[in-house]
Amino acid sequence: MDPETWVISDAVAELHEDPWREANPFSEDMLQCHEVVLDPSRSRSEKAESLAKWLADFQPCLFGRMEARRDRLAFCMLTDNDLEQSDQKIRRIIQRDRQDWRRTASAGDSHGFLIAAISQRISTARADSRLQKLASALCGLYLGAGDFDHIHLDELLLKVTNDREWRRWKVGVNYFSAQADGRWWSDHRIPGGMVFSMNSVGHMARTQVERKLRAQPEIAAKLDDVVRDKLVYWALRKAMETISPFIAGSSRGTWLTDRGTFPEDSDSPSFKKREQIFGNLAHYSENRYKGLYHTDETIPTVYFDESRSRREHVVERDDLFFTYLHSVMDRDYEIMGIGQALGLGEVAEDSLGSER
Amino acid sequence: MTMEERVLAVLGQGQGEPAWLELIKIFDSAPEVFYELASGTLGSESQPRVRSLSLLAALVRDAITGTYEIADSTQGPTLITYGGKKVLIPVELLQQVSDFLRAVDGKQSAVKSGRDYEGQRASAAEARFKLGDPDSWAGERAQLESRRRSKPQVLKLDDDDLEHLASQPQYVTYGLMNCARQVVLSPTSVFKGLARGDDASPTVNDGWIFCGRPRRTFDNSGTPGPAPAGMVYLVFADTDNCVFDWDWVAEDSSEPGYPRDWRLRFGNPHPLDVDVVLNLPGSLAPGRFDSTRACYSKRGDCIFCYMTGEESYAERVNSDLTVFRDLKTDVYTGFKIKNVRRILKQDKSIKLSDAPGLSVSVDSVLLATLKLHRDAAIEVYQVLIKALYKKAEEPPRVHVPPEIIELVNS
Repeated sequence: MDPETWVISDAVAELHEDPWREANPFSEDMLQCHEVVLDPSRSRSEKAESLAKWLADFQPCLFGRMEARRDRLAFCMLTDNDLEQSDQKIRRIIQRDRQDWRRTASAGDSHGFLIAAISQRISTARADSRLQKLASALCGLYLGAGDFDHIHLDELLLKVTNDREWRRWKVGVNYFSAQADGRWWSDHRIPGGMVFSMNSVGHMARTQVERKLRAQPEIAAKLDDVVRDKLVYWALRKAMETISPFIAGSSRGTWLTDRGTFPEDSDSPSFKKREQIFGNLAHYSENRYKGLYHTDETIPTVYFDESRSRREHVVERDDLFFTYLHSVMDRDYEIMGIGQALGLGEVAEDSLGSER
Repeated sequence: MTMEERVLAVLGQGQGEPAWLELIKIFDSAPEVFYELASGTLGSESQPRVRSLSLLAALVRDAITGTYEIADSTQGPTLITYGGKKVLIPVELLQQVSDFLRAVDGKQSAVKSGRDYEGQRASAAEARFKLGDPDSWAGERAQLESRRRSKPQVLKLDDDDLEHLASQPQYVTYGLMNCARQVVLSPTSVFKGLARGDDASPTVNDGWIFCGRPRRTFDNSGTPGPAPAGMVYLVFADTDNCVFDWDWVAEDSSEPGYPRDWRLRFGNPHPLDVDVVLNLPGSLAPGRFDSTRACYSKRGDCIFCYMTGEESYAERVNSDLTVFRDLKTDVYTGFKIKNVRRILKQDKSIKLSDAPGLSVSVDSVLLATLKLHRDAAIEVYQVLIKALYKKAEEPPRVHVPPEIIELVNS
């Protein structure tokens, strides 16, 4: 290998301890998880299990929580040993774990992947430009780009329709870190350090579609390819539930907005039709939502801007779209109805039922 | 259609453009042709233009599978695979090639927001290119699982040795917290067995030596500076995983990443099959240097004596003596006497005083090492003894735990 570089290792060494944390200690759930993930004698598997357990209980995203409970999350655990390696070696570690995840996902057995840089030093670091530099460098090793306030994407493949066809999905990449605990962006908190989380709702939704159709071949035989492709929108309701309506005093960074707020909301379907699909969320826009940060942007600068460390300093955004297509059409609602009849979404209900 | 015909159907006949551009054109217009071309399905009779494209596509596959980076070289931007294969990229195509490589690897940056629900159709050739040969999956996963499940070897410091840091120069503690920690996490070489002689303590003789190249050294204020040129950092631990010594030492000029004279000093290189970590107390902080105090490390069976506090490196004199020398001036700043138990046992003329045989004068042990190594350079000892007496009327005495004295007397 050609001369090596140590941007990551140097960036970790340059982190400063967060003085704010002294007066604002980590939440109890974070501390409990830290006992395992920051214990130097634990294996990567043990640390990953502990992180998955935490995610199963505390991850705000319903999909992430569901995947954690069903033990379907894949991990690339970067420990202090890994973070002290050259950038080239770290990149290779990430790529190997990523490849392993993509292979597992190709059979529909995983839809989410976390690259977790677990380190005492990172977890207690100040949320400043130094931490941002580390986040950007790590993202760069993973995706070949780590610009802030950009939407960076990975990709997943799935073997579908009884092995006849392959499909690929774009997968969003989001930054989480321990610094978020107790701060206005606590939706993005995670124990142990810094994490890039990848989760494909479409891949998960299509896997469920294929499994349901395999179990009900008489229905499957009546559906054409277009319908099969669109059955995935059963997950839209879950996405809306994840965002959830605005609650005064809540620390959530995103919220649903009344339907009619956005231009896209003037499109059909009728309230009645929407109510059939979205239930009590039919009053809210299924097109867009609002938030304090852009949920698709991988590394939002605002997390690291110490001059905007309080919720009231942050400007509200309304350019947050539920689907890549931006607008779900009438025909899609009809197909969502078929999805309901097929029992799609029940798996999610099973996983999350006890708490909802 | 043959693969060659499919390639030419995309590109058309004629002179052709730079290979990178042609490959990108194939990927954009007929991705499955690109994926198959990269998988090496080209016939041996194909024309040179298509053959060279096939080679470039295969290299792209290597790069994506094994990771790559684009680096500047004297000839211009170069794609370098982890395995060391290289190919130049014309400067004017750098951004285009970079985006192409990311796209082939399924990575992109988007403008449009929102989740991808429906996905897009993909080909079997694409899946095979991106996921690799299914026959290799189980083996590669087993390797990953073994790495994931292995528990690290945890090194620590004995409480006594932690206490000793309170009177040693501050750079010693900063070196432990930064350089030693880094070396243990990512060593360039590891040895098992410290050749201190047959009668040395077996916990030391069978111990560990981690060698590495920290990129910074730390002074007495904890300020980092560039690592000293031509040096590596050594960390010594006994068989109980207790670290007892850490120093800069000269690097072997013919074997980068190895210390000088390693064959003489250590056992064979010992590749690690587990991670190693150095677990230090969170409250660890440097103390206040006291040149009148020396310390005996039970773990390392050695006496540390720092006469001055300048940041130093270690230089082995013989199996019983190592000297510390100023990193900037090479002046002697202290020394380490090894195999103290054996020395005390062999040389009964060394006086033990205070409470029943609990402390020993450092100079007497130092001189004892000279008696045992008659070929040693006298001037080193002269300088050290002179320096010891210059600092104080009486050289430091070092506390030796009663169990060691018992061991010596037995």
